[in-house]
Amino acid sequence: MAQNNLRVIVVGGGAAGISAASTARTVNPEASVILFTEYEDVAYSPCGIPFVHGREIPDFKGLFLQTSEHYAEIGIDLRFQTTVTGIDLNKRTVSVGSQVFEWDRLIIATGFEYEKPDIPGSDLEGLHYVKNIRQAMEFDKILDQIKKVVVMAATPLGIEMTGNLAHRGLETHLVDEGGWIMSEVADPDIMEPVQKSLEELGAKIHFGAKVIEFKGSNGKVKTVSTTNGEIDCDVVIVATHKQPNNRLSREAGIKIGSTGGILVDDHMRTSVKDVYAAGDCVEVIHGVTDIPIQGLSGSHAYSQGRVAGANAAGGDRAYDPVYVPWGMVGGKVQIGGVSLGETLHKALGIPHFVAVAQGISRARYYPGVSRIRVKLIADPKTLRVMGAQMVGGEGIKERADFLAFSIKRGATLHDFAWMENVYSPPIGALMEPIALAAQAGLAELAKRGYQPPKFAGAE
Amino acid sequence: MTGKKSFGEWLRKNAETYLLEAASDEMIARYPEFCAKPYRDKGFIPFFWRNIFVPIYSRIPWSVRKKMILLSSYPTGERPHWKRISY
Repeated sequence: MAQNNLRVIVVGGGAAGISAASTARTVNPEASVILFTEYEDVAYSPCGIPFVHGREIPDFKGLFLQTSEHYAEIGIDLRFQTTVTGIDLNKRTVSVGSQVFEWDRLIIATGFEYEKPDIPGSDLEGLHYVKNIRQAMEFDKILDQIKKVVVMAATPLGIEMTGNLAHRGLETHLVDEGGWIMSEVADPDIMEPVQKSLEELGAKIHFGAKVIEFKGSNGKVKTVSTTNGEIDCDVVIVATHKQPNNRLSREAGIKIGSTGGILVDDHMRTSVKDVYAAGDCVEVIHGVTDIPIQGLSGSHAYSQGRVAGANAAGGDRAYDPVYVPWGMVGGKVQIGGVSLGETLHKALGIPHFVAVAQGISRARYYPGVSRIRVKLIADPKTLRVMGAQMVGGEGIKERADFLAFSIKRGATLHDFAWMENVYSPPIGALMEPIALAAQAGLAELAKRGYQPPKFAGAE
Repeated sequence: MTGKKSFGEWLRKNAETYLLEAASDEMIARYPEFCAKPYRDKGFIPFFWRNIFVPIYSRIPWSVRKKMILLSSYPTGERPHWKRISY
């Protein structure tokens, strides 16, 4: 039952925080909800920032989803540019400088921080972190006046920034320690078309290079020094790992997991009664491996915020373990997947079988047709699909969503090999690339002597 | 600004780094045409993780490894409740 006059405080105004606050008010319209954010805005899409820099989107205005007036109308007390300095779990208060605010339910949505490079020159002007929209607006003006950019780390954000800045016409260098793009997430055969596409856009990629120093003059960065040489630049985009921003929670004594994220259960409850957490600051359970993971997409943060907000306000909602469908554009190519790829299965040492095929996105004669490479990673005993990675010209996001849904429900290579699919020349080929990959995998297994199980009900 | 890290966080970060490094080397061997030579830190600590931890880990069956990962993730045994999805 919803409690009257419930005082809910939300710390953080990103996707998790704003969805938690909105849902809390929806579930319990009598609740007072205060949201503290250290920034000037809420309810915008930071994921859209690289595309404004790349001139794919004309301006930053389109990234805002709602106005602050909207949140006032639905009864959320937004406190902008207000930094919460402490949490007292015994007194059930948060501090903002000398001011103290009492809560009955607390929702922590403090998000992430980029891993700051611990090397000489990291305090120079010109090192830019893509996060805050106001800073991005100012940075966009700087981009009009410069010629050379170095992007540090081939993370998903690094790839998006590299492609977009090259598209804008800037001399763009991508520096990464790995042997291929996004080597910590994706497989090299999947990422090779992305690398080619970025190079066709004019980007220069420096693999196997560790950044060891930022050199500057008059306090501004001018050169990035790497283990493979120096690169002149006007600005640096630092696109390093995202770490959970949990200083407040640690100091308060809320339990933190091995990923650095706050430990939560499937109701987004932390180790402390009446304290909830959601978004990039928490760790959640991976559906395939059962292992805690951290640092997912904005859509995960948004959903977790809704669950935290509903439960904090007196509801009862559960959040499922995650299967992590993902997708993005690298250069002019779409890539995506579900769960873990081949590299991460190897790293964890999970027994796996790889099924790969190349198909097409539309009828082979239809204008705009493009290739799609699908890689399915399956359990070698049960043939249940555990993960997937894809690259192609179109339709990757929809396939990733479909695969995540199917994998969550235990689909096997047999299921995908015999799946039904849409055939319509402008939007779908006769042979679905996912089915082709599953069929290729089963054919390979048959060569190795594998006997498929009989279908249920077969004589 | 993220605060002091625990032993469990230190262990996971290092294990992930070097297991991924070993897996990357396998992938580079499998797909040499798509890969460049990666950067590798040198010194005693990387030597320990590469030459002692990774080979030992790789000999342990996945079912045991998974238990070890979960044990190091929840050293006090207090794993928060999550719905199990099984089909």
